[in-house]
Amino acid sequence: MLKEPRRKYMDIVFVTIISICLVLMLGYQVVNVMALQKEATPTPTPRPFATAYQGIPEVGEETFRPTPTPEVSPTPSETPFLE
Amino acid sequence: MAVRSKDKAKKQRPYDYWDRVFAGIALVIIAAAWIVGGILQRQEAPECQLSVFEEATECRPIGNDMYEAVRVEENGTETVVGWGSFGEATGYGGPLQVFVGVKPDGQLAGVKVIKNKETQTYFRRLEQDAFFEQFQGMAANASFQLDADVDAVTRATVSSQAVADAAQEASYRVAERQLDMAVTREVEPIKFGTPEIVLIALYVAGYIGHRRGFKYKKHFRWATMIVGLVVLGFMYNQPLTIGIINSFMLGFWPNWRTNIYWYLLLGGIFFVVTAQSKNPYCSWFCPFGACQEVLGAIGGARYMGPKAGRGREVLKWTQRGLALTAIVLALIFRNPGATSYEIFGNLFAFNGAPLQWVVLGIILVLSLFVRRPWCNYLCPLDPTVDIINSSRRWITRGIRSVS
Repeated sequence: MLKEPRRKYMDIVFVTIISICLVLMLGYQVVNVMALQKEATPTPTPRPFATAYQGIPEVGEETFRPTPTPEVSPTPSETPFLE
Repeated sequence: MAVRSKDKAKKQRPYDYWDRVFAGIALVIIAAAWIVGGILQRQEAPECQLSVFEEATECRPIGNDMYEAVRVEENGTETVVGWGSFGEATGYGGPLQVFVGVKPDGQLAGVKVIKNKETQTYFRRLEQDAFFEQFQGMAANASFQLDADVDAVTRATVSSQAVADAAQEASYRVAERQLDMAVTREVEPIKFGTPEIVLIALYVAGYIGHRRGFKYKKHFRWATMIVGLVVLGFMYNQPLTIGIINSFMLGFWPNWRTNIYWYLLLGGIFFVVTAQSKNPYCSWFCPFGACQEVLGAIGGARYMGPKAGRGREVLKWTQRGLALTAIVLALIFRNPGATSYEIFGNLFAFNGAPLQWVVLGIILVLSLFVRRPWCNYLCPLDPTVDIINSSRRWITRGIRSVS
């Protein structure tokens, strides 16, 4: 059996360690849930050029095609550098 | 003597009362989270996955869950390069959806997972082990059996099985409807092997050992713990987690023919806890519990934490709060594994998040001096079993008072 003062000291140390673990585990849950939410939020993704490209209609070719999607304006990084 | 026992009963009443209150409130919160999660759930229409087909420039729906991938030349002519469809199966964490592309010659162009609720550290194993690449070039009407046509990834077999099942569903649809290929749907063989046999044996041993007056209780318990540690832990990494209980509540039940272990583990706990109000799993063969006891025996662990008073109460209630948070968040986000914070995978499969590694280290060191620190102060299963037990007591008392 532990002596009373030593036991009290042990209690404090033990409760502190377990509390740290509890906070870490709660943090783990929050991080995971935030990642889930981030994943669930729809972000507009530009359609690839190939999907939007409808081909050049030739003279006399039937022009019926599915409605083309509006061209996505290039992001700054994609804009060619003009001198 | 009679007065003393009356005083004792009076002292115990508040504890029992708050336990019951907790169980009641917890059940209400869990039910509310389940409903809220159902309302918030979004049903998004799946989109054709162009990236599965190497040469395709367009992919469009052609009805009946079928998509057509075409290559459009510069002059506008179109060539069909394949067809695709979606398949779904239940994995470790819930529904898993894949898109499968099939080329006109009947070979698979590729398999892509669209949605999954698997534990991400395990799911990454499938990507790292080139699991998905092995589907390329496979016949669309192949059997898709694990370890025959498809090699499962070790320690991620449930996820591997789910991907194979979902891919089979989608591939067979394309094979039958677009390619007129003969498809034979083989009945999945029932998977019953070493882990299932060992689990049943451990439940029986736990049941026998729990009985009062059993002569070799101590030795028997050590034997079951070591078997649990080695077989259920290090060999198969299949301990009970809160993720499994969440999956059960969300209705994400895996195929029973290939997941008998899942049903045995969960069914065994519910049956024994409700019928006998005892929990043989935790004290008799939980692999992580056994690991802590082994370390405790080495280090001579005697300390049990604060004996009574505020410290112990605070720790008990924070453990319950943590477990309840894990259940509620899983139900709201419809993702059983996301909040499963156990550190078992780190120890038995060397797989887990950095925060879990930190906690594992602390717990293993602490186990040398304290008896089962994880089980007594952090594990979510203990409070969950408490809720089941309190509910059971409530119901039986209600039935008795009516009759």
